[in-house]
Amino acid sequence: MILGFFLRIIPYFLLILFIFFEFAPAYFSEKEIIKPYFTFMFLYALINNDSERFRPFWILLVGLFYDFLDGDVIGITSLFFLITLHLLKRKHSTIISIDFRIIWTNFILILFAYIFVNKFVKFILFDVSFELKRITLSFFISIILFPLFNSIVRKFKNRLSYINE
Amino acid sequence: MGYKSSFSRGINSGPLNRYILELTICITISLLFVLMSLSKSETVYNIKYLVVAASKPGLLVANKPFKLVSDFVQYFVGMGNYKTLNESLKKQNDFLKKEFNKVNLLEVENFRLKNLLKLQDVDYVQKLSARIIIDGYRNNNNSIYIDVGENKGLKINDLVFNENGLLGRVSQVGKYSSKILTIYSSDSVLPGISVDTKQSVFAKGDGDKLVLKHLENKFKLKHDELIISTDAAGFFKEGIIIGKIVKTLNDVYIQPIAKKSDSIFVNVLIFDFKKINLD
Repeated sequence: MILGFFLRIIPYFLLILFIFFEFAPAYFSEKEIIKPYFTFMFLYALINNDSERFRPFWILLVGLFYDFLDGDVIGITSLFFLITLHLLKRKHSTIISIDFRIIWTNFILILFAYIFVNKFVKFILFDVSFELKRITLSFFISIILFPLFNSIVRKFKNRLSYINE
Repeated sequence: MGYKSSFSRGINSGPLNRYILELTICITISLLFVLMSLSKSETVYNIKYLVVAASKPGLLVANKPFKLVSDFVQYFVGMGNYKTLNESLKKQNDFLKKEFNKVNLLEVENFRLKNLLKLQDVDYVQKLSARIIIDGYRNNNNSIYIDVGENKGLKINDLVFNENGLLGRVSQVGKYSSKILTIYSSDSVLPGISVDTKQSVFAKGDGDKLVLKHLENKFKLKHDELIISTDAAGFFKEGIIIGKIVKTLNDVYIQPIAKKSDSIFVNVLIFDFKKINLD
């Protein structure tokens, strides 16, 4: 039971950890660093592999926490992931697939839409400079790293299912 | 047969509807936050401040690995610099070693040249400073008096000079004062040598100038060349400036550089002949 509890909270714990890892350098380093969207990748992989486990409430909390640390537009991450979750949960989902290439393509499109909307709103309403080079590099690194994250999460989910059974 | 509307299906109890309700509430909250942040609400800023403040320990812990990596990278960058610095120091060290060897060689050379010139640190000459007490210039006399005498070890023929050159020599010694015969006096004859043409000359005082004695062709001397003292007479110190050669159409003479009026202070060279090594 205790093991089950720990296994159940590990994804949330990892999510929080990824959020800290993603923002710690930004808070304590004077230099702008190029970092992949770790939290986005991990959360997307979690939802993609085990959408039934994630309740919208937790996504809201994680998304808000992420946005509070990230910057100006609060609620946009949770909004994106809530919509993604809903799309993944639909019976005849257009984005759910067994084929990893489709999953990957969906991830790229959703990440692109997220970055575009987030940065565009910041640029228009908050006068935050649009660092195209850094954002593009972060975007491509995230795309490259996503298969790794997805496979880790899938293996973790399979192991968890095996223990539960 | 009755059909349920889509609305009634949405509010039916069941896992899906609970999910829909939760999703709707969450999306509404998210949208609310988005709108509040777009309208730059104070509440959102306050919450943001609280969240960031509460997250600080976590952020600090999460930053540790990045700091370690950063330190590690900086250390290696520093190592690269140390290599450059080390190379630079090695070059500098080589250069200084060469310079040190040069200095050693020069020191040896200097020692050798000193031996060749028989220059050595002498202890038989003492330099004293004195003050002119009766000025021959004002008295229209070619003698001056200074405030040192036998009490300081002065003897007859000790040389008197100032910062410009030779002024004269001691002609009379009292206990506390001495009389100086200046080079302008007709009784003064100095041995000297011209610096450029290397002509040995004797300069005799003649009022405001020195005339050349015992020189067959004094026109060989160059105009404006320096005449310095030699030790030809035995009691003179060599190398003290006497004056400059002045050439006119029909005469050549020495114009002394040091004047009695230059300063009220003069120097006296006191020779202790007992200490001179005659070898």
